[in-house]
Amino acid sequence: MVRKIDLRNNKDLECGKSKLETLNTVILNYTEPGEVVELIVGSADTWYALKKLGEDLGYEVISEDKLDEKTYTITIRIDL
Amino acid sequence: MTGDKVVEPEWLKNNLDKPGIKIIEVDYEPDTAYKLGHIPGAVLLDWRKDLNRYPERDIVSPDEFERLMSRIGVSNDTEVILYGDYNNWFAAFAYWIFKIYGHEKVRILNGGRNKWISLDYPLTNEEPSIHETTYKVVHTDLTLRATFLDVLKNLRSEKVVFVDVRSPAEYTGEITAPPEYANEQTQRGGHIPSAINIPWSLAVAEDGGFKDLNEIREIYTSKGVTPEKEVIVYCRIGERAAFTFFVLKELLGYNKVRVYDGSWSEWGNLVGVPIETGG
Repeated sequence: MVRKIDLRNNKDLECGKSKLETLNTVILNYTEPGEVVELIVGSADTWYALKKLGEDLGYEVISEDKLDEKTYTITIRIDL
Repeated sequence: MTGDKVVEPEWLKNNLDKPGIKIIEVDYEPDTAYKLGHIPGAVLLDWRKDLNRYPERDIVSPDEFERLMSRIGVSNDTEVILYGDYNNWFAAFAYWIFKIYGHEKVRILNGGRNKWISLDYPLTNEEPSIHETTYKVVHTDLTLRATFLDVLKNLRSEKVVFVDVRSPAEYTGEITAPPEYANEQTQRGGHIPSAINIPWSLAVAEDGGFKDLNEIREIYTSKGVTPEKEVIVYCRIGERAAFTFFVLKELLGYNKVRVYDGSWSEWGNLVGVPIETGG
């Protein structure tokens, strides 16, 4: 069972704070090395950023999907 | 229908190579937007670095705008298409500056980056080749901008309506700024006296694009923001106000709309000016 982290109501992703820092904080503080997690975000733009930032933030993208206009998922494996 | 100042993503996808157009991505945070992938051919404007003057806290001067346009290859007759991150807020701010400096051939991509990506339209990391130009500002229209003095002298005018586009919690004074905007807190919470709260987002559809024009028009007119009035819009630092400026001026065709870009981060800190709190 892959753990889900729902970021759709994370206000820090809505402009104001750095999106890069916010995503880095999520990876560092809410995941474990080697863990596979599914991130759920509410914007295509953030979804796209997550697909591209694996090397910088330390994860591998396993799969991604668009469920509807407000729901995007990406499953990642955190680097060891 | 959203008018001729809006470009639909499908049209742009089919006209990426059209001569005479310049696509410009305006980002608040280029590191998680333009630099990860942008519309083919698009050049970057960094809202903070390129469109604002620090430490003055002002928009770029005419000279700076000329240099900026020349550097990114915009000529006076270039058809500019703006889009960006965060709901096109900063693209709208750029649009407002283009209009202040008299560049008429400018449009906004409906839905910005978000909608483009959600449609699975192409993005690239390839930097576009730029041929520098010699851009000249030939006309400046400062009637599109309101200062705090303009606000002060129109506080009791029946011809002027103030539209506060922030969230209801900011408008009532419950909060001075959302917690994620730590640098934009003010001494006081509330709103400019008589201002009407119509959050910017009410003009936006589920997919991030603009709502139907009739629906948008009803939102404003039902609250007394009607075309014959002069409208001054404000938010906290001006970017969301620029978005609503675009909606009122360019989509609905209101004649006189101004952005008070000092907005609440100025008014909420000014000594001796009146405010109202509550709904």
